[in-house]
Amino acid sequence: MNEKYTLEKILSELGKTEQNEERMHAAMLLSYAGSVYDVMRKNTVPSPLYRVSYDKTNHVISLDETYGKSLVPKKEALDISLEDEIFCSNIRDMPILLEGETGVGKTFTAMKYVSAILNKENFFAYRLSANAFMNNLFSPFQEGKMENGMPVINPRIDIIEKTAAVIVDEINRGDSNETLQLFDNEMHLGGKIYKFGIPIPEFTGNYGKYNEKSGRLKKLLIITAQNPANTDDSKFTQTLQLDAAVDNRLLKTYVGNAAPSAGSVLWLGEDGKKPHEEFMKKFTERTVKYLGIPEKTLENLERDWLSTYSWITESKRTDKPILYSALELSDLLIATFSGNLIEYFNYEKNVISDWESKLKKGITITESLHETDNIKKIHEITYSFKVPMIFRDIVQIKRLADVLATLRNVKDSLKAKNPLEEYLDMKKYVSIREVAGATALLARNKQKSESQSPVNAINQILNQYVSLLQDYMQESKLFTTNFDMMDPNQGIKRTAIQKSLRDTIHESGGVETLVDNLTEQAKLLRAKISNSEEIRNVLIARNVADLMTLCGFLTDYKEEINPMLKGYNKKTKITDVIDDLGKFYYKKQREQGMILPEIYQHRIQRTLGVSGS
Amino acid sequence: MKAKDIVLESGKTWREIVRLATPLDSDKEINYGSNPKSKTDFDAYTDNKRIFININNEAKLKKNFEDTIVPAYKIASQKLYRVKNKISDSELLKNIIYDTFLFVHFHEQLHPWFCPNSRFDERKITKTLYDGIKEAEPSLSKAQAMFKANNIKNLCWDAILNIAFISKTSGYNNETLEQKISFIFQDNGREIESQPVMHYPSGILPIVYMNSAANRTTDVPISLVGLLYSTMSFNSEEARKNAAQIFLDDLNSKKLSNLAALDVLKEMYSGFISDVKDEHLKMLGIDRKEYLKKISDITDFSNLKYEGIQKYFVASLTRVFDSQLSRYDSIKGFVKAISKYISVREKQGSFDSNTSSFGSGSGQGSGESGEGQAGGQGEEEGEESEEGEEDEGQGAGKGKSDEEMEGDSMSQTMDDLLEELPDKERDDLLEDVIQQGTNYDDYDSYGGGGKGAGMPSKRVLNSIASIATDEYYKQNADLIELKNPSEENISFELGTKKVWKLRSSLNLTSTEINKLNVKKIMDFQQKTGLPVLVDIGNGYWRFNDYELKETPLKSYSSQLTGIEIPDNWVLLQDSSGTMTGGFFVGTGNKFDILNRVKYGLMKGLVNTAKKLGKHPKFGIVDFSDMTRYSGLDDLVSIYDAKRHRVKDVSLSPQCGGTYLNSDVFKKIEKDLKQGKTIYTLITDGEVAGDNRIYSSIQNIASKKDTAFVFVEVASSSSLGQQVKVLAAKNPAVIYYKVSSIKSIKDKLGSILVKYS
Repeated sequence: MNEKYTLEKILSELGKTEQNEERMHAAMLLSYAGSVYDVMRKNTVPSPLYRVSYDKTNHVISLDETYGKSLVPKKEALDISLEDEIFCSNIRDMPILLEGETGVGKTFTAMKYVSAILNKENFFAYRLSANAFMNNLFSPFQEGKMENGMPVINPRIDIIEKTAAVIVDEINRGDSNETLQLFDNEMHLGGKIYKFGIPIPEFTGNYGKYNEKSGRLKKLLIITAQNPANTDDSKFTQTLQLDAAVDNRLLKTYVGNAAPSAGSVLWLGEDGKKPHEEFMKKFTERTVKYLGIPEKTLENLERDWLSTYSWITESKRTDKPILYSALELSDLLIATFSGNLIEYFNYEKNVISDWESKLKKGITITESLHETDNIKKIHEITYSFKVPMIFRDIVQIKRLADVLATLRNVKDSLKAKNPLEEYLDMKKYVSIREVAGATALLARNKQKSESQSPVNAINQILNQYVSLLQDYMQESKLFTTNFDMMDPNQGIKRTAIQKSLRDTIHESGGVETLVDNLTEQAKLLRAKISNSEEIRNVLIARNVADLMTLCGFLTDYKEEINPMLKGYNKKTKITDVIDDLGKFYYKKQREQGMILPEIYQHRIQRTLGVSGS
Repeated sequence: MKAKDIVLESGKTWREIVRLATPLDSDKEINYGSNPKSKTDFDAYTDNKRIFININNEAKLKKNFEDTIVPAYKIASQKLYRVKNKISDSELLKNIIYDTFLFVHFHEQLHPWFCPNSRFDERKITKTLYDGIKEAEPSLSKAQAMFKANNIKNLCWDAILNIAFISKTSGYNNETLEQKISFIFQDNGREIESQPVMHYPSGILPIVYMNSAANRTTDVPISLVGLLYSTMSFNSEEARKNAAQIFLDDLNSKKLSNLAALDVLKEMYSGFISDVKDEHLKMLGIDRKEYLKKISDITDFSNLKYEGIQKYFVASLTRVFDSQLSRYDSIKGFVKAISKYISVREKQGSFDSNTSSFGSGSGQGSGESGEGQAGGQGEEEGEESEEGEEDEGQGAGKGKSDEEMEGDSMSQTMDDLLEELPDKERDDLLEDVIQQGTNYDDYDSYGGGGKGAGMPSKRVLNSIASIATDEYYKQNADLIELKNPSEENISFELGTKKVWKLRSSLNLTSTEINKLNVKKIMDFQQKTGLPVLVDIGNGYWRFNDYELKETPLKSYSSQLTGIEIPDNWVLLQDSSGTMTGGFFVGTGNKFDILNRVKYGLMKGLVNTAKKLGKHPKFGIVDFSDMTRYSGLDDLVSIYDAKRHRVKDVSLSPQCGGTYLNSDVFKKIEKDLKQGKTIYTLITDGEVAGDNRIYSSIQNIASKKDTAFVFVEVASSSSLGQQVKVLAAKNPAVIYYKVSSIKSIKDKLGSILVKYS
């Protein structure tokens, strides 16, 4: 093909720079979101699921489960409908499971969404049979032949390569192994693994070159549905473990009945014929408007749609950096809901005690955590989970937090007069607001039916985190006492590390000075152990253990770190020093992966708040 | 506006604040009610899950505020509320009631947060109070120290909580409650005389205590603590002086001069840190010298720097109480300062029984108390109850008498001490408590009567002595081992298992096969060996479909067998003067030994019953001058209960003659459960009574599955001889003559179990 691809043409029109690529993506993402809703709204009414609100002054979240009922608009509240969840599932690559009674519109809404964004040859929608031999989850991607009198199954590569979405109804009838494969975007057949997804294009060579296949694949949009399980006892059937494994990979949503709320408006919708054509038209109009480019630039959009779609919706593009405070909060939330708080506190106490034996810095925690009423309340939530908090949940919280942040960004932008500029100007972080909301959604998903909402417990943890942070920030005199949830430098350990590094560099000190300074900060925190604030004690113990682990790490590698520290001066940015320490840690992790103590591999990265990428 | 409506309004505001400040309690239930029979104008308490607030007498409540609080506060009302314009009396009254009940809600809510916040905390505080009291008054007996610890503990819990509350509502330690209150007040547009109220007013905490002091319904400690709160709560010199004067007047009426009272106040302040280690004070940022120096200013109510001083103390003490390293040492020092004013007889200032049980909490109320009530605070304690248990029209009343609740509280205090004390001290305490209970009548004039002397009421003391006796034998009686049961495998139906059965068969063409999940079919065929797809030739295939059908599945489990214990055990015990002369616990007399044997056997039987999952019934017939019997009940329940009607009979010897009324056997018969029954009679003398005793034994022994064991200890009675003859003829009757009770334990143990 000689003619340029649509994405190439648009970027050429805008100018081949990183900023313009970002601008192009923002405009097309907003156009994509705006257009798909416009098309769907012609004949579907929203099916409200949740309202997530965050009180920025008092730092409390609320999570209302709306079960299909629409609510009066509220400032700052994020209303999440079924369509929003499907949209998020689409751009964040999270398979979604819609649970609800027959007729509430689960598959209808999914079909409307998918048939708007894709041509019909690019997706499948099917229902699994109750007969185990007839419910081949991969039937669209396979063909059976008779060879020498034996049935033989082969993959349909042509179909695999152009399929961008599947809607599977009655997913619980599927074989667990196959379901897991589907959710992992692959199919195992005849000893081979076939990856699903659409190639994602990329610009290379300083934006001068367009490569239609970057090697990355846009994952299948997987929308599954089922009627609610009769009882939670099904968990204890022979397929329990696999079911639980499947369950954990999903964004699970209970779809309530929107009919009572929507009423007769259901009769007033337009008949939406050729939804994809309509979507493309609206998408083109919006993109042209947002970017101020000639319509002709998008003349081959239909031809290039699959690659354009995969580029717009690549999840990496809506990944958000997680702020340090959000990281600390998620760490505490995960720790709190992972099991017994008292055992957990004792573990951290022991870590501190072990470091004390090694480093002799005069810091221990002798207080105990007892089974108070509050701890019992937290445990009630933890024990209401069908399966305990596991590694995958930690990833899932971040993904859900990204979903919430992205959805808020897109919705807020589309409300503005100039959506593109609004979107580009936004702070796109995962803050404590998103982490708290994501944990609430995740915890709700994990709970047995009729369990008490986890929101009060999450708020209590949030409350204790923020109050300790403010209290400590005031004492350290490094920041203002007011916590700003969007400030990337605020955080308990972040404050301790920054202050210690600053003081060390100002004193032209080495590792020993830094360790002493860090210990002083740890002691300040340790003094805040309170008999009446159990969660705060867990948080303190955790942070002190982390800081002392950092001290241990610095001491172990002081020969190499000392020269680094000596190379800094008062003008050096402390964040650069932290980054350097982070790089040093990752270097050690790569060089000494096997022998680098596990405690460093568990703690140093999050204590420094640095990413390996 | 009615007082009750104001209380409800304050409850709404409380919940709004809690949602922001302590979200974990956002859904905490509040039960509002009324208890017209109560002598207090209101009462409040918590079971830690719910808060109960009863407005019992609205008129009296309002009058207390009108007569005492408004006059004391009106001079400083603008300052207290931090507003510019004057506040009318009616507006002040309304707002003061509102803020007082806001405090009451917080007080009940925060008990499990601050004090006691766990069973560990509760036990430790009780032990600390006991140690402090013993140290301050070495001449007190152990039991008296325990009574005092019990009577002061609620006041102590409240002090820890209330001081923290002042700190939190003032933000003295960077707490956020003050901010949240302020946020909600502003959000709700709270006003007083059209002026915005932005903060929680100063001086609310002492109000409920002031009402009690003004009504002279308090004890010395409550007024002392009220005086302490007065020095911590006000931003206005005038209000501070007025409040302090109310408490000083009350203390004067109790023969404590102003000077003496202010000295005690200073001792309380110094006591808070006297036992705290220097290193712990340092860790909390408190300099001992500076602290002690500031105490001299605390009684100078006009000191211009007073607010700074009170901030220093409130902030420091909140930190001291909030650290496990200093909390208990501080309580010890504090109680030492006021120990001599604590009554042995009754609760201090608050009627707050059953508070020792974690899961219950404390409460408070103001108003006059009637006779028999300790102090005028009218505190009550809620014990955990099933929903709907409250009587109609009784508000959140629990249906227990004050004395019963006090008994429960004392019992919890003793339990806490028994858990905390070393073995020797524990036994000493138990023996002392039992002795005090036994010698109750001798103590009527103990200490010359009046406050700070005497003993708890006879009923409470008897109750606690009975619990102590039971505990003593539980701890000290050697277990008499019964034979361990053996294990045997027993077959039973586990449930059903599923097996594949052919459901249907279809003939398919080759193209139709493409639709099938061939991989799954192959897997199934491999795993089960069942044919699903069968080539039947000519391009046709047979497709067999299977379904799972349930069939019964047998399994085996091991069960305990080889031992049989009775379904009923009735022990007839002689508690005549020859068995014991009165006090018996730990004396080594016959009744003491009898109880050791009795508890040893009970322990053994309870262990075996638990292993076998059986529930034998047990009962005691205590005979001396009277024949006492309180029915049969489940042995395990009796043994586990602190108090039980069977134990009441069992542990209170009559020390009279040796008389047995044979009518008791008819009563027993009605209570027996079906199955095997063993009667055991132990006596050391000639059992007198009607002439039907022997015939009753004969009758019992003739019944199916029933045995009668007659034990004579170092005596030979005519009844014994008759039974001995009977035993020779009837194997269901067993006769023993032993030289000491000790030697019968093995014999009885083997009779209680019948080997198969």
